[in-house]
Amino acid sequence: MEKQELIRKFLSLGCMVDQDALQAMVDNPSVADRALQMITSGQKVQTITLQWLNHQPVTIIQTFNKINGSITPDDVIRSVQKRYDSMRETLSKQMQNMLSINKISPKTRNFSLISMIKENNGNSILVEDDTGEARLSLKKELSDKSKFLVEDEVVGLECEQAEGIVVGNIVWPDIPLGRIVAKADSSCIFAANVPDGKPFDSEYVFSFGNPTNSKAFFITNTPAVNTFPDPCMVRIGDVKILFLSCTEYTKTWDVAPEVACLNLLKKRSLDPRINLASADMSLSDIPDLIVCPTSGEPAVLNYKGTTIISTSYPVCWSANLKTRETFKISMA
Amino acid sequence: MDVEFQLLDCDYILVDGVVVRLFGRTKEGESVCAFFRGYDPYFYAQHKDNIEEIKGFLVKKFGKLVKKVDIVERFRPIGYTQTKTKMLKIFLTDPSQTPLVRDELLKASLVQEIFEADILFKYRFMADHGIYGMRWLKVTGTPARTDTVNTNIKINAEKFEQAEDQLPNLRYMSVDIETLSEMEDIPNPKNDKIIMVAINFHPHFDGKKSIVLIAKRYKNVNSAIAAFRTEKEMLEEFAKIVDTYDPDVITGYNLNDFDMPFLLTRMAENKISRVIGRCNQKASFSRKIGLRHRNDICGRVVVDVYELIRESIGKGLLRLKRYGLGDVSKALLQEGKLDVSYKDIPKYWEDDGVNFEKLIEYSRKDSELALRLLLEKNMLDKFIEISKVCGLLLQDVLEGGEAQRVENLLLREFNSHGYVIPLKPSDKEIMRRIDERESKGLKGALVLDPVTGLHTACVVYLDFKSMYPSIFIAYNICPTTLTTKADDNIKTPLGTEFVSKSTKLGVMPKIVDDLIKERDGIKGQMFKASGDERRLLEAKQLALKYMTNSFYGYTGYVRARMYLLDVANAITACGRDIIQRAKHVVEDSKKYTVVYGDTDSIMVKIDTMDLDQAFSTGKEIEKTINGHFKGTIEMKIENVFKTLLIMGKKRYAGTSYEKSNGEWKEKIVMKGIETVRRDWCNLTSDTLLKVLEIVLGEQKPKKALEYMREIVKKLEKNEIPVEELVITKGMSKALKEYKGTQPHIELVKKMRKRSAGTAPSLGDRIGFIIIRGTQILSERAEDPDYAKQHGMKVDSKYYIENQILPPLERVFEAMGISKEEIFGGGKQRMLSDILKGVNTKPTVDSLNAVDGMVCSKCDRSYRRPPLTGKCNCGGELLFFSGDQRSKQFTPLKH
Repeated sequence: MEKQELIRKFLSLGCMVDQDALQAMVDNPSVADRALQMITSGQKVQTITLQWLNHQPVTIIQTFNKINGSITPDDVIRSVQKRYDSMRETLSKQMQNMLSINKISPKTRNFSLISMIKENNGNSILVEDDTGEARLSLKKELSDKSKFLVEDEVVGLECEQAEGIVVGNIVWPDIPLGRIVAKADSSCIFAANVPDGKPFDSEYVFSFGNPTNSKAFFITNTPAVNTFPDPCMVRIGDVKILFLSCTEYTKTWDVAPEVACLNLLKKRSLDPRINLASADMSLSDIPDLIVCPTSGEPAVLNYKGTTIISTSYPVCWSANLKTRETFKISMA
Repeated sequence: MDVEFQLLDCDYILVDGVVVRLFGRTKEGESVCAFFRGYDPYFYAQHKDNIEEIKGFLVKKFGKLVKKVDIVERFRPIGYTQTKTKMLKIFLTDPSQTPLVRDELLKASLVQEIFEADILFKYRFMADHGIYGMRWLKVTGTPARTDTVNTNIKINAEKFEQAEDQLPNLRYMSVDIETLSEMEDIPNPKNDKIIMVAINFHPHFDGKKSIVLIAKRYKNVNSAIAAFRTEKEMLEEFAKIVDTYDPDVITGYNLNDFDMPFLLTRMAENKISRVIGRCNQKASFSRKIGLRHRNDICGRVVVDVYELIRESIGKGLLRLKRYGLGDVSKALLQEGKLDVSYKDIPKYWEDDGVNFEKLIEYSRKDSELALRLLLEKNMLDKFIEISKVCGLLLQDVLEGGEAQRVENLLLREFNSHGYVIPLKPSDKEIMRRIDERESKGLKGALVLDPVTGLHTACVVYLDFKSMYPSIFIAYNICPTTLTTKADDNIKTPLGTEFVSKSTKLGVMPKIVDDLIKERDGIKGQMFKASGDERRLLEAKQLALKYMTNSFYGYTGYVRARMYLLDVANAITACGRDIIQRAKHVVEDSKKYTVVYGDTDSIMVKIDTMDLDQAFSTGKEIEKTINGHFKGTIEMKIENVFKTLLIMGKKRYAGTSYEKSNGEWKEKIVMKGIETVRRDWCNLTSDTLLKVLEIVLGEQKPKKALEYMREIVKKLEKNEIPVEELVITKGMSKALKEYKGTQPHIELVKKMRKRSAGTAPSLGDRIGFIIIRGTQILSERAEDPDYAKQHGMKVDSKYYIENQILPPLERVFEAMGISKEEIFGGGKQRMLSDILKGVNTKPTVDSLNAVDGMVCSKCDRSYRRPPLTGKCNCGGELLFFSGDQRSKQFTPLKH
């Protein structure tokens, strides 16, 4: 493609192109094609540079939008049932002595249920499966776990019946142990809560350091360069990155955002509560990285091969997607 | 010297051997401590052929701790036998070491079995000397010179005798504390101080009815208010008052879980001696057992009026929605607390004028109300009499369970008949018993299938007098009479056999028979008695009835020493057989129908509307049944129902008539119908009561249905005052300790954001209504005043579906009024449509905002669909928004 044509094309997509990048695209049309594909699939960039071109492509693989178009009651019912069935399949691999609610008799001693939470009042829960509902007491020792139970989520419950049914353990769908650690030949910088009007571009950020030699950076929850919808999952190479601000659950559970994300990861859902106007928030793909903003101390934690990063201006994290090393960059 | 006193407490100390101490008060009002020496703890061990080996082991291992070992003969407790078994009776010098010796013997496998090695020493002593808690005791002895106790009379006892029962002359002290908390949280005795201690006395102390101690300088002190510079000085004065006044009973409202543990902890923090009991060496202490606290004050009894109220409510003797001191005293004493909010206390404390005085009076009043409840309502009477019957000390009767009471009685009777009693079961044994129950089953009483519906002809209610106790006696049921071998056995319907009374009278049947006879004697005395004497006799006969009826439950209790599944099953099998036979006797006459029966009673329908005729027919039935059982068990007509609505097993309501002094007394009886539930609004309770009144009083179910429909219509039109729709729930812990979402807690969070100063706080009951909206239920709880001010609409659907309909549907269905008739019309019409008399709600093509989903058949709404995909009634689900329904929802893009 001619230079002029390329400039026109990129301008129509809202981007400018620097000279080095332009020359590279003229010399190698496949580079131009790749750049076009990246931008049309959602990658936002103000100026296309050689550095940008040398990046691995970032592809948005899942967004969790509100529903488009009309839905019927049957659509909602099918969606709820499908979600239940899918979680049940995951949980059934971890549970033993499973029963449905209608099969519980006074003689049943130890058994498991896979059910949807209808109500949680701290001491007991009301649960439902496709055969009925039941009220179960919670063992006192479970209070640290049961506080994370959310309406409409699907969990496994290990129960015992003596005088009434008591839940002895709560099992979440969770992510499997021993996953192969996904890698990408790239490094990224993650930032969040960047104040309005703040000049925030790679030059500015890299001036504070670039320990992983990152070539790209991502900002969550701030209208700026490289912003992604919240929530959304992207892929760089083989690495899947989930951007998520779980403010509501951070408040409800009174925990740090990275802990809230961890619990949502275990539930395999970004928001278990069923909302008729929203799409299903189930996490069928397991992210390798989760990035969320925080109003507290930025932190990193690792869980079964998934790295959870919480970050807030003036701190951002530099992450090597090959080795999963992370470094804090302070712009204070 | 001789001293007669009422026994309150018993303990022991070690001073050159064991010294037992008995504490009480004389008729003249003097406090007493009687010391007794020369009694040693002991237990039994059934040896193998190795007496000398055991003796050698004991001497080597324990030296002087083992005082002596006797060889005795006793009957083993389980199973009929005519022969006693040789056993070792092992005496020790220190009761607290009994578990150690017992465990070592068992570990060394030197004995076959051990008995009575876990009886509390005080009860071992009391049983062997025929001493019972709260009974009057005559002690003969010599004056004791000691400073170890601070009672008026101290005596070295030589002899004990039971004295004649007298009216108690106890001293009561009621305590209420106020604290200042740094955080808006549950006060913490480690950090937060006590600012006031209010005390009320009965009888008066130094001419004073009450005194309030305050921990700050105050200019208006008088005889009823004492001010101190510091908390420490105030608490020292408190301890001094206890010592001087020397109460027998210390009481308060929630004393056990709050005031007393707090006081004791603050005394410790201030390095003040916690010796506030009658022993000058033993510090009082508070211990946590499970979720509750137990407070130990030597020689005194700690009584928590709140626990007594909860017990009465649990037994159905009181019907109250709220258990706070204010609500309880208003209901029972027609006087409430003073109006000071918990969150105003810090502000009033800082004041020096009117508000501070208000705070003082508020605290004084709380203390006064607790004492008045205890005394004016005679709340301790029952427990005092139970103590006298079973032998436990009053404190243990208040704190312990039924099993402990029965076992104390069994210990005495078994021992007196030459039996030993087993140890308490180990955890392993308890599991075995539970498994046995699972596999064999513990069959309960018989509950006949009721003839549900509204019965408008008279129904007589007959019941067997003390059925289970009578079964014990008639069949000679006891662990000691259980057998398979003897010839003249009594066989129960389940096949379990017991030896006959002529072969050996069982210990349990004897105890039960004695209790019944004593109760009959007391009832006879009641006719001639009046005033306090009659009141105490009434309490006594109730205590005897209670103890008599405890034996059956005890035999089936897995943690009981004498648990025997066969015995428990035998009793219920006899009970079931008796009820069945009674039913057949009635129905064989072919004139009457048994419409219901439960455990020990039957209800027989008589074809008449006349009460006198029904009663006389009932008497004939009574005679016929008693003739059939030939005196082994007796049935009696209790009352006649003129109208009876039976809704199911254990659920009925009726207008009952009882004959008293030749006249009929009417009352409405309700069983299993919760008209007082704390999570119902007033509208629900009132509507249910009114519906039942119409049904039972006027016998007009359709009128009752119309009434309910009127209420539902008014709800839909928002014509019900918001005050009638308020649901209340308490906030018993700090917000952050609540897990999960609850409506009243979510509301408190909202209210705190609006105005932290006026929001409810810990201990408050929160009243809320449910308003309309799309959020989940717990987020739609709202403060009624706020809702009114902001024109928020009540979610009438929630109230109809979750508050009004559930209890009332059951009432109408029992009368044969179907759901269709309640809801009206054909399948497609919805309740509210029927009630309004309008056609189906408008269905539109599409909605772009929804409140949720709704059933097209029964109009029940859902936030999300059930997993079955259909409504519980089988109806199809639609989207709804306000009045509109649709099969399509197109969310607006944002």
